[in-house]
Amino acid sequence: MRLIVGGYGQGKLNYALSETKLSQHEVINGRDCPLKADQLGQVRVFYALEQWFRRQLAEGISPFEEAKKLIEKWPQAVLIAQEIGSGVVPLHAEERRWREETGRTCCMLAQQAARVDRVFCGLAATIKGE
Amino acid sequence: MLAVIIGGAASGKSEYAERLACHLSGGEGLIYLATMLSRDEESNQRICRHRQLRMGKGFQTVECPLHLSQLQLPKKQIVLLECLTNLVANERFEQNGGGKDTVREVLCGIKYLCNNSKHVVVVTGNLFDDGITYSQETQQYCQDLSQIHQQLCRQADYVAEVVYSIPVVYKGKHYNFLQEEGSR
Repeated sequence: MRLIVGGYGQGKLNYALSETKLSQHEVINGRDCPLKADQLGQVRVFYALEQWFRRQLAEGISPFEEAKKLIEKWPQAVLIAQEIGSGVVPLHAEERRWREETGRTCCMLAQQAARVDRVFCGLAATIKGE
Repeated sequence: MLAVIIGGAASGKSEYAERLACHLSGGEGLIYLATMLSRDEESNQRICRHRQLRMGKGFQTVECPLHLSQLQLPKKQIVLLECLTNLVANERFEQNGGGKDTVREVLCGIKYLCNNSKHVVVVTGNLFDDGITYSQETQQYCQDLSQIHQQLCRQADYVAEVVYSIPVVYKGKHYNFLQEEGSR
């Protein structure tokens, strides 16, 4: 499994597509895909993991557990997550919870990943693996 | 040496900083300076989580929500200060805090730690990448914190940003514990 992280609008998805030679319609999008890992079709590239987590939290589903199932079922997948933790502590509890759960889950994914890339202004820096 | 460990929320920066402090100490003379004030259930839970995280690692915990430079610590210890974001907020916003003199107060405090200790590891948060314009009060706090960051990182021997548990080193020798464990 590979993990691609980075801030908003840095070119994470384009980088993943150029690495995998896939097209956009083969990408699972965390904004509108099923909330449970076992309901997903084939996962080659998963975009907007953080949005998937947010939607799961709203339905009382654990992002950490679903992410574990996701990588068990699709160990060759490329996962893309936006970094969302680098701001002032949010006023709303659910925003804080989202930040926290996304952070902890992405730490686990980064530990499990064979490779982690961080994309900045369209340029990828490999921060783990070859 | 002075090490600055920075990261976003829930990035794994504390765990990394604790490992670094333990590595530097060889298990002896570890002091944990805790800066968080207990205000509500959520901060209590946070404090609890951190206590569990460092349990059994040999840290002696010293509460230090304000006035770092007035602490009386034993000499030649390895000191882990966590977290600068809280300390600066306390100095800025608490009644008996440094107020307008927050930057100087905090930098003096860390200077005292550096002069008095063998190694100092400072944990802090990156609060600057969300593109939101906050109230004047909060902006002032962010400015204080960013000034302190720049000063500290200029003096530091080691600066690393922890990105979802992975240290990205900006300055100094690479101490890479978590990644070693992850790929084992």
